[in-house]
Amino acid sequence: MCSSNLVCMDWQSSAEGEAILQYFYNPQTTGRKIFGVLEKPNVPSSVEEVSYKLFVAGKAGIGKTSTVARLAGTKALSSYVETSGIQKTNIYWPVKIWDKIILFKLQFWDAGDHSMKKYSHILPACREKADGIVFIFSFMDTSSFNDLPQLMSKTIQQPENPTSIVIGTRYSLTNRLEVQSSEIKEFEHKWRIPVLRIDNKWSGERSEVQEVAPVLNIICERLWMRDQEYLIKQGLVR
Amino acid sequence: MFAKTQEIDLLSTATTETTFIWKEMEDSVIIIAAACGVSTELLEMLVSSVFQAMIMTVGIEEIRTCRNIERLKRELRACYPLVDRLLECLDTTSRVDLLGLTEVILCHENISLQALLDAYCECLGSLHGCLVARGRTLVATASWWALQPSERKLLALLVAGDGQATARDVPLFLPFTSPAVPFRLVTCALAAGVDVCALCGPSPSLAEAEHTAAQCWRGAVDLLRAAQLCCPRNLAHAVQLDAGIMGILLVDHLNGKFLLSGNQLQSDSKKDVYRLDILCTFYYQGAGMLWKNSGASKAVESYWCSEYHKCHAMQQGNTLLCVLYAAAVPTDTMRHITKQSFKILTTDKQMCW
Ligand SMILES: Nc1nc2c(ncn2[C@@H]2O[C@H](COP(=O)(O)OP(=O)(O)OP(=O)(O)O)[C@@H](O)[C@H]2O)c(=O)[nH]1
Ligand SMILES: [Mg+2]
Repeated sequence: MCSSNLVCMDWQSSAEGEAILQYFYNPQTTGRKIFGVLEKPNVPSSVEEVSYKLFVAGKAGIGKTSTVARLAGTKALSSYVETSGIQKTNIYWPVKIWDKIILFKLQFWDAGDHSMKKYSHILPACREKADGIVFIFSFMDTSSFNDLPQLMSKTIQQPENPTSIVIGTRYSLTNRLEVQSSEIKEFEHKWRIPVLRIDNKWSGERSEVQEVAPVLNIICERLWMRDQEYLIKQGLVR
Repeated sequence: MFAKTQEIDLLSTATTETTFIWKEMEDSVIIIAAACGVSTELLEMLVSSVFQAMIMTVGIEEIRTCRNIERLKRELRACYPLVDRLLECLDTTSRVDLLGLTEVILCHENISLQALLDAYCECLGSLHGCLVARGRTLVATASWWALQPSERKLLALLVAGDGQATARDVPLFLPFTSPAVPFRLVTCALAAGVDVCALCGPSPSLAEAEHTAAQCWRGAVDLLRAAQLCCPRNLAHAVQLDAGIMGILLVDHLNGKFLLSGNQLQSDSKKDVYRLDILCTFYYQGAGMLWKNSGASKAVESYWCSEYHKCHAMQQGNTLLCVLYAAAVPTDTMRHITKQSFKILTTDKQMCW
């Protein structure tokens, strides 16, 4: 069932996964819970928690804020409101790795592109000690895809060696996309970075978790692998 | 425009239904507002608040000098959500709010929360801090209360407007206190629906502020939850008001704050909004005038009676209490109940009115 992946990709729809996910939903509203800094999901205490910082990069209006809202399980505004300053969202996500359930605390740092250009403290704050960088492009905007390598080289310049993930917004099975799947394959091959697809328009066809689970699982897997590589380098893992 | 060429200032004009306000700011922008059933005075307040929202977003210099009009227009787009919320303050059909005044919650946890907030702000090195539950202020530091009321209102609307964010770092200007040098509004969601915010300079960083928040408020989860449960009554459940009271509006004119409560433990929000809307109308059209009339014989009470409701307002010092009663309550007992409620609401030290 878990195929060749490190992270079990369809665990969230197993009986065990669904039982754990109960802690992430509000029984009254049936929407995903939002946790303040003093709170966390009430999972069994045996579940280990790991925490990571992710910086969400991409040009203005491309869908950074919508993507984070989507991953957090909240409905984003449909009209475009540019983000003022930094908006940081903690998303808790349970993942099954080998035979263990691990609680990931993913801290997404999203900043409005315009205010990032205007205020110099924003970019360093977002980049500082990031474990991963999520690059956002749009399937309906070829230039946003073509500009990725440049954006990547501009953004990744820190000693922490963050892992990279690319997410394409406005993905659709029915509409004609500006960015072709052959281009995506080529990119993934060349850069060895997974390109994930997301549609931030709330379709309501499938359950919300099912739609975001593949994206969150892969993000968690990348972060986990980066840690393992680090440990191997330090000679801490056989 | 015609008037301007003749060096005449056009201030306002009215058709049978609509009032228009027209105001030029800093020789740079003209703000025009039109509304039905809204007083000229309130519309003027809206126009100034909108201008303040613009200053908050881009700073006064940008508006005054305006070197690049296209850029200014683009930058001002960021204040549209705030302007929308200001407009909503005038539209009382979905939610009742008052322009230029801070909405507060009165609960018994406030006295403990005040101490925690003061300690948190000291850790951050910030003078201005505020604790907000669902957009309404629980407690704030003395310097926060010393900000201009309309400034505070804009900040509260800004904090209330964010969705899922756990923490935010928003550069902004303070229209009166610091119109040319930006501050950072650093907010942090402590528990679902409760945010703590502080105005900071270059430090601490957002990550540090979040860490500090987690430390300072660690033991307060239950307090915060309890305080948050007071919404939407906005008043501690333990506070018993007379059963004939259908709603109250308590306003502190000097400190620019108000409490609005439907006096219901189980809230039917539609009915609530309707009742609170009546109270607001009473405030705008009748009771609010109590502040204005001065002179030898100063009125301190005001009555309104209709078929279904009665309203009564009483002023003491800076504070005005407007009460909505069921029509069945005899007019002469209203006075007594209002007076009693006034005392209950304003003298309880723990609730920090
Ligand atoms: N149809 C569709 N629209 C999307 C999608 N993602 C984002 N949008 C829309 O694109 C607009 C901009 O999205 P945001 O997420 O606010 O953009 P941003 O990258 O955060 O922009 P800045 O904060 O200015 O840097 C919004 O109107 C979204 O509704 C998507 O997957 N599909
Ligand atoms: Mg954004």
